[in-house]
Amino acid sequence: MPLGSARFGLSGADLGKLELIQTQTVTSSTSAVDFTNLGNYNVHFLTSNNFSSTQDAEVLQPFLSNNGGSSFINSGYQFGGQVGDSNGNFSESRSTSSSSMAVLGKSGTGTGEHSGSYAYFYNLLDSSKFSFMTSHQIAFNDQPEAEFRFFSAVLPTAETHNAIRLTGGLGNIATLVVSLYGIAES
Amino acid sequence: MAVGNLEFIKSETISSSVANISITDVFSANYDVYKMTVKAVGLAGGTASRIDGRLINSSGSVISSSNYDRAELTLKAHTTFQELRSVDADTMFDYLAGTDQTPETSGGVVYFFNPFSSSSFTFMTVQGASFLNSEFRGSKSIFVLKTTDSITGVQLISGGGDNLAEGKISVYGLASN
Repeated sequence: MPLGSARFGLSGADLGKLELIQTQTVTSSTSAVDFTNLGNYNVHFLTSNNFSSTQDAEVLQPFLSNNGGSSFINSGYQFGGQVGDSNGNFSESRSTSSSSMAVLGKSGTGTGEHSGSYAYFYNLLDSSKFSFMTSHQIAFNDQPEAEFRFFSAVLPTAETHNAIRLTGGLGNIATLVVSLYGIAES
Repeated sequence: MAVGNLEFIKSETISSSVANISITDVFSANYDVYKMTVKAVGLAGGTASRIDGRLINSSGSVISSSNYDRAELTLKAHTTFQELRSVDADTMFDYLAGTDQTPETSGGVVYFFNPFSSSSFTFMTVQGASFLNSEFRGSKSIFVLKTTDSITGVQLISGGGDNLAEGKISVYGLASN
């Protein structure tokens, strides 16, 4: 490939705008996974795969920080979400006073009871805007049954949010592969 | 493994009060699937508004014929969710989650399927999040334009409240080969 065509394709398109910031892998009990370098993007994209908690029926929870990860905010989030499973149970999930920015996964401790998800984060680094998130998740949960969740969430404080933490709910994270990307030009 | 296949096409920034904004000449024969990111669309004043949409054909005309269908779930943090639907509408109502004056704003991601094809309908999926009138809401919705027009752009429209005044819209192609 000629020099220059790695970034600009033959059609002239500007290539490679999903930019990997960092991938972190958990293979043993870990209390939290932190991303403290968010680059310089308006929209971030996060994928989680193979999440499980050390405790049965627990969830993968995201939190934001306004001080680079020295501490994480655990109040004031709002969200609306829909939950459904393969047994036909569908329900609304909502809060105006959540301790986390909704949920990005659900797991059990049985074989295969893991989950995967993706999420978009908006305005995290914009000090004049609220920070938003939208997400979609598939889990084989603790019942065990296939379960989806999709959420929209906000931290309604106009400030810079420059770190993301993921925890395993009331347990630790047992397994997880999580990647954070920035969407350039967004 | 192929890398780098989210390919930037164009951005538009709203920086003054406008009733609508058109993002033109973004869909072509180069891709079948497109992603549009919407960052912090806000209003010029404090009268909350829907953000509606219409598509733009290859002649540059905004399509306002009654051929848009949608199904939408509005996820409100403070109360029961709302199902919204429309058939044979001349506008894609609530294309993005409704918005208000900064810092409340609206953001989201739209995927387009087959917009440029002159033999397929144009499909869209939208996920969004916004704050308006001091209340949070998300949106998960689908839209279709039930014609085989070759689509090259999209228009965002203030749906009844104050004008749009800020925001950034970026369009990307998803390379498939």
